[in-house]
Amino acid sequence: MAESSEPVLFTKRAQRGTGQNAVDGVCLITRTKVRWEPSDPSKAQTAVLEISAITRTQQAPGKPFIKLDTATGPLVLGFTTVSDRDDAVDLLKQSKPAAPLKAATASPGGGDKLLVPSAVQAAALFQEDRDLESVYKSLVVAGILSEQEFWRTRQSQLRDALARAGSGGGGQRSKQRVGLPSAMLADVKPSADGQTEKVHFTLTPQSIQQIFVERPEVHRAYLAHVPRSMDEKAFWTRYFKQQYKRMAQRRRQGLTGDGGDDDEDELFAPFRKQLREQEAAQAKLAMGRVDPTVNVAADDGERLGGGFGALRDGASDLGGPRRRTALDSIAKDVNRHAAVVLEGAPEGLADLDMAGDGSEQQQQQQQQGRDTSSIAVALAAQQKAAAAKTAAAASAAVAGDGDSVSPERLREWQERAASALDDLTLDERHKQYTPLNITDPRSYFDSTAAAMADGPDGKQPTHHHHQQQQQQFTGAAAQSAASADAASALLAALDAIQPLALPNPPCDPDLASAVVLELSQDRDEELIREFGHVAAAALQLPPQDRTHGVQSLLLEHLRAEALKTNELLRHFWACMPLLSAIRAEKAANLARHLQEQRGLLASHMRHHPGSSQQVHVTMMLRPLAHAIDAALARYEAEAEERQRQQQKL
Amino acid sequence: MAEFADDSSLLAILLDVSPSAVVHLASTPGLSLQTLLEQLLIFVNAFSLLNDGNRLAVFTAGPSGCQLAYCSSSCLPPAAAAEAAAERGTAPSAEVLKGLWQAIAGTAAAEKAGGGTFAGTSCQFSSALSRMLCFINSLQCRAAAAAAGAELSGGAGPSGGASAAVRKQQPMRLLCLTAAPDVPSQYIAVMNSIFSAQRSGVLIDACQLGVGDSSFLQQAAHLTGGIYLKPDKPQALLQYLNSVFSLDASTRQYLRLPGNTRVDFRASCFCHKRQIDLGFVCSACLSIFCEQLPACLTCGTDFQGGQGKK
Repeated sequence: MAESSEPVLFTKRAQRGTGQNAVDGVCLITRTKVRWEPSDPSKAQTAVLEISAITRTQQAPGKPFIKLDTATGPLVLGFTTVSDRDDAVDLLKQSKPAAPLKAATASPGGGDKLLVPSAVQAAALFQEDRDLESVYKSLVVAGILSEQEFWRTRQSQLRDALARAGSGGGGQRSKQRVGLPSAMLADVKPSADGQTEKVHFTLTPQSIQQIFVERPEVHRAYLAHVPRSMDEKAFWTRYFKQQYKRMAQRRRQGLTGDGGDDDEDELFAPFRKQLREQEAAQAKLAMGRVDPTVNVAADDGERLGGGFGALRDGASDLGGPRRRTALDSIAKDVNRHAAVVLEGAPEGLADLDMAGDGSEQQQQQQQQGRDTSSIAVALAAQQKAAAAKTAAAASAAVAGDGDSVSPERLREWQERAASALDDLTLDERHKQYTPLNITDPRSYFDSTAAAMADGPDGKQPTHHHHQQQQQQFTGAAAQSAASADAASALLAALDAIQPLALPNPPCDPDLASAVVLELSQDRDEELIREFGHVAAAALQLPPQDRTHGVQSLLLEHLRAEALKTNELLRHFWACMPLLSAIRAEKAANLARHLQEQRGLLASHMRHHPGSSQQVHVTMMLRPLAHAIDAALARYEAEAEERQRQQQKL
Repeated sequence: MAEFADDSSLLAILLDVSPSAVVHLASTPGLSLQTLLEQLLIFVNAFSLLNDGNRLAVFTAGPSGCQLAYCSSSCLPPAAAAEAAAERGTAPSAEVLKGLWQAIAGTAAAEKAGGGTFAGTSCQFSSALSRMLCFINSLQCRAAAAAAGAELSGGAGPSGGASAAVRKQQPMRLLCLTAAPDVPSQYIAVMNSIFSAQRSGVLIDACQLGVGDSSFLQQAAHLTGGIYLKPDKPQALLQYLNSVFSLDASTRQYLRLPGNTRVDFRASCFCHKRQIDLGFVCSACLSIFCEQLPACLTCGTDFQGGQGKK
């Protein structure tokens, strides 16, 4: 702390790292720096990051972790609660935008950055949405909210609007990556001239690239042989000869069931074998990652490579093993192709010059040769990088021993299996839970009966047993008398009624019409209490007619006030709970304005006293006033709580 | 919801005849017991005339229990129904009157014979509700059995089978005409009845004639989608009955009716049966208590020095 003279804005307990290696410590944030200090200096070193050097912040949803990426390496911090984390993120965001804010203004469309429209864009937005303009004027122009605060709550709306404007004006969209054609390699069809026995294959840089990606063995063979032991043309001739043979074989197989892909060209065979071994190793690795308690048939699809789909019902195929291998090889090709298409075009390669389109290989051999080798080399470099990544992942996944499941992993699986099938673990459950001990429900009803005997007014039993009994007796006697009286009164009333000559009219018609009126009108006790007969008269109008008496100018004004109030309330509730100083400050500011707004609404409600207009305006504005009251009440409670916490600290 | 083949419905009326209710009603200016009962009988007639398929049942509820005073002949088992139809006249009001007289006289006689073994002056609202729900359930079961029987026997009684199928879905509702105050000790039993009514799709309407509002009836109407009404002018009770409670549920959705503006959701505690605003709830079984307890009285959960949730 000695070297930083800046005030510390944020101090929270935070662990560095996650899981078992996490070290306890404290995270401090100032205007420009994030600093983490271990609570035990022997365990770890203090980390200091310049906020401006942070390239990315990542947060795990629902977990109190934050990852700050910098050029020198990431800093992972685990807070005690998610709200602590959110505060830190808020602070970082507020400290950070100084520089990128201008960039965001200039180039909208950026990912997480705050979008603030330019004056022209804002004018266009206001043109579309008059209400937005009125709210903007009453809040931002009046200085209650800042420009950024105002637009922050409207980011998605703004993004849509700007995108709409942008697509009209042309081109701020990010460039879409070019995909791969989904045509399979089989589409590189030979063309015969019909006069000689020769067939011609046409190659383009794109198809070469596709061949290399989908047939790794060809790629490897090319890298190994082409410049040195054979030239470009010889290589491709060899490839297509083998390919042609294979196609013919596949076509024949349907009829004769003759052979698989066993008779490989010796140019590709060794690489093919190498690849098979690699694939087998990878499949085994993948198997190691599969939880056997979940997926029993996990290895079934692995032999087809790629993992996209599996041969349906392969076991019951009548064609026997030979046909199955042939089908497997086709399925493998399809899978490999699908994987390549899904991975997408390797970056950089898709942009290669497409000038060679449709030109014959013989004619443009020179250029082609250069292209092809560059493709092959670039691809090799990319694959190497990818391989390094997967290898790292694999070694991380399988700690140390490559071919067996680690014991802790096995234990985890077993635990999960046990918890998932908990009806298989019979006796464990009884050990874990204490049974709910519900008392006999009769005791409840017995006590009910006792309470009834005490009388409905809940007389407490007295201490003197004798007295109590006597009291009960006299009470019962009185009640019995009352009951007999009631019964006799009722019976007398019933006797007096002549069922076939019921009175007509049954009740006072005036009273009845009053009841009909009473039942069919809106009742608003509070209004009637406040305004008396005026309110009752005003409420008799149907709801759609109630604005008739009010001037349209006043209505427009009240509407603007309502919009403003709602916007203020939205900003206010966004500050809740008051966990950081910044939020508290903003909330205090907003609460003050809300109070003013409340006063304004109240003065509107007091206007034109004693008229039906006042009743109608009150009816319109009262929900708003209530909303403000609720917000202010919450603010007071929160502020009090915050004060108490600060005193404690 | 599909429209019913006709707009008929079953109405079960609960009439509070407890001493406290009678005392209160008798003291209401302009409304003697006689006029009240006359207006009720007119409503009964009106309801029966609204639709030929309408069915009616009238119950009385007093401190010693609940009696069935009257029910339409179609509510009775077939054999008893034929017998009753032969005996009865045309207007249901006469039958209802007779039934009420018998029920009240019978109860009074039983009480006199039983001596002092009764409790309170307020009505046993919970047992009355349960009794009415059982009655409705038995009707539903009978209708279902009849429908199943008609289906089995095929062409034996096509018209009877169809009407049974219709009756099976006939909407049912309860109308509680009460004047006695709530008895907090009945809280659980009443709430259980309300929830059963809610489950079986029975509406509970309530017309509170007594002093103050009834929390039980407000909650019953609120939970089952019925209407709770406390008439300002009980002298014109018939007008309230006719304009609000004669309408079945499907008709009500087209009308603006007085709503349940404020519902009193207060509960009674399980320990002393007091009505409480704020209490303690067992975290295991959700029992409600008015005071902090070391252990739950219902399920025995130990609160470890009273850490029950407030």
